[in-house]
Amino acid sequence: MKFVISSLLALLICAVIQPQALAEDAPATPAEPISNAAPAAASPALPAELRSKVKRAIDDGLRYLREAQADDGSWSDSVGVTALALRAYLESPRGYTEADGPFITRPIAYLLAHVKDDGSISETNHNRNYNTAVSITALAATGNDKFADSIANAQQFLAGLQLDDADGYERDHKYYGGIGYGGDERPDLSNMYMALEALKATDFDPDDPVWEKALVFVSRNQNNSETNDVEISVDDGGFSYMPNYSPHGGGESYGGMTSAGLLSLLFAGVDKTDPRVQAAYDWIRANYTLETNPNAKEGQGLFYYYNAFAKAMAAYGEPTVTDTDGKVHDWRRDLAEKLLSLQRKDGAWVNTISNRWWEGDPNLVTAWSIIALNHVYDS
Amino acid sequence: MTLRRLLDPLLAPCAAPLAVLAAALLLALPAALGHRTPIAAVLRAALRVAALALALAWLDGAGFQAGASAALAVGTLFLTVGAICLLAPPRAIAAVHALSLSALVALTLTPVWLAEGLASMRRTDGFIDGLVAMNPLTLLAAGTGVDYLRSEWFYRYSPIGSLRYDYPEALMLLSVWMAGVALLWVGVALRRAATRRHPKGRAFHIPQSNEAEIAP
Repeated sequence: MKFVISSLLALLICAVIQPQALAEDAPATPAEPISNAAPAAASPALPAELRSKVKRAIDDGLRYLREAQADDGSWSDSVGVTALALRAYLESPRGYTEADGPFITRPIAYLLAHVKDDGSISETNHNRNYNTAVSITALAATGNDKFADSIANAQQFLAGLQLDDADGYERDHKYYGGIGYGGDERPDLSNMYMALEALKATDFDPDDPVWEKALVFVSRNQNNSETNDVEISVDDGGFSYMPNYSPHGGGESYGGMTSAGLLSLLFAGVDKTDPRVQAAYDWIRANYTLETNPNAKEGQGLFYYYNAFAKAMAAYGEPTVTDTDGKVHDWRRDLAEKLLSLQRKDGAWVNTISNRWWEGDPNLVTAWSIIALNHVYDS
Repeated sequence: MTLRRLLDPLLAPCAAPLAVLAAALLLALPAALGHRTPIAAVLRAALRVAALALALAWLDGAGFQAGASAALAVGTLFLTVGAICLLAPPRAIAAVHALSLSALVALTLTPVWLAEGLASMRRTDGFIDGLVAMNPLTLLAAGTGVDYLRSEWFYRYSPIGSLRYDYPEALMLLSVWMAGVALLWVGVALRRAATRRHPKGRAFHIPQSNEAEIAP
């Protein structure tokens, strides 16, 4: 019996002892010049009255966030939400900067306090990609060169998450080139697009193999048999969450992911005339709506869709979308009016139907909505 | 390795401890419970099972801490079910064993069978984290840091991976489970003491055709 007990105790001790930290060989690559201009498109301006309402809605949203901010500068005890809220301020029409006070400098300090030795920026082990990606996007938006080292290390961390031959995934594997949450190996298009957006916003080397490998994975998430070499159950040109898998059922394409997929293609430098970009844009034309996240379960991922849609449309650069019935839509006006109609009296936005993907958190949803409106206003 | 290939890549690091645990609960535990001295037999079996889990985890490439943690998790879960069975009335041990295993599986699959409710929850503060903490897979995955709720399989059949949750700190989780196991085994020890004082009420009655030979 003593032997049994002492053996179990020995095992417990083994489990408790921290292993020697693995030596990191994070390359100390000098940071690329920082530039983080919000995508803009040449287009007719919003009507003056609506533009004024958009600006007021952004101000109201930022005021809500200011009141919801914790003393340490964070929002929702989350690096990711904090970074998004910070970005909402920095890219707003008022162009807030660090000089405006602690409500900007504290969240920056909060992000930097969560920088890990491996370059990641996260308060948790299982959202490292999202958190790191949105953090460096926000840090880059400050335009302050003193964050260059943190950004460069985080870029290497994000690039290191990509699955490739070194991880045992050969090119013909459906996961090849993908990036997941960062605490695991399973990649998805949402994480992929966040990482690519961050790398693009921080001027990551455009010749790095990361982009080409990313395109392999991104293309496999597109339900387009002409350009996708994995088996798909839908062939409509839109994008799903993982190759042939949607959380809304089967392998269906849906609005949030098609916007994310279109953005990913554009971030990776794919030309607008490329058949993948055209197929994605055609899907958006065929499913154009801002009443729902098209093809998603009721209310799910609605504000994620608005955010990704605004960025995708701004990056694509067309002021209007002509749907497949020939009707012309001014996407900025439609999105602005929709978001204005959904704003609460206290300035916040929140998904009142579904809590999935954290959309029950008004801090996150308000930040996403403001970033979407910033794109509407800036263009 | 076959199990590892069958599992989602995300769950693959848990393959060795999962395989050992399943075999131990289905084969080793009934044998130990049927032993002439079941308490000692269950404890010995737990040690062997933990050692096997440790060895396989190392062979599977797990690190030192992860292997030890997985071994402890396997041993703890084995001892939990073992203690529950030993506390059962003698003639109900087999039934309790089956029920315990069913409960373990049901607990593991809470994210799936609660999927509809989870998807429609407006506020999840604390509840989700509690659900995650109670899941035996969380204990198995704690040492490896595997985010099993985002595995393709769980993500496909449960919305939990898309909700906000945190895994409990590994050491804290292990401590709580081990404290629970310790309590159960105190109960087993008390029961054995009571049985010794009243031999006719022997707790560990395993019906056997040659009962006269194994009676004390």
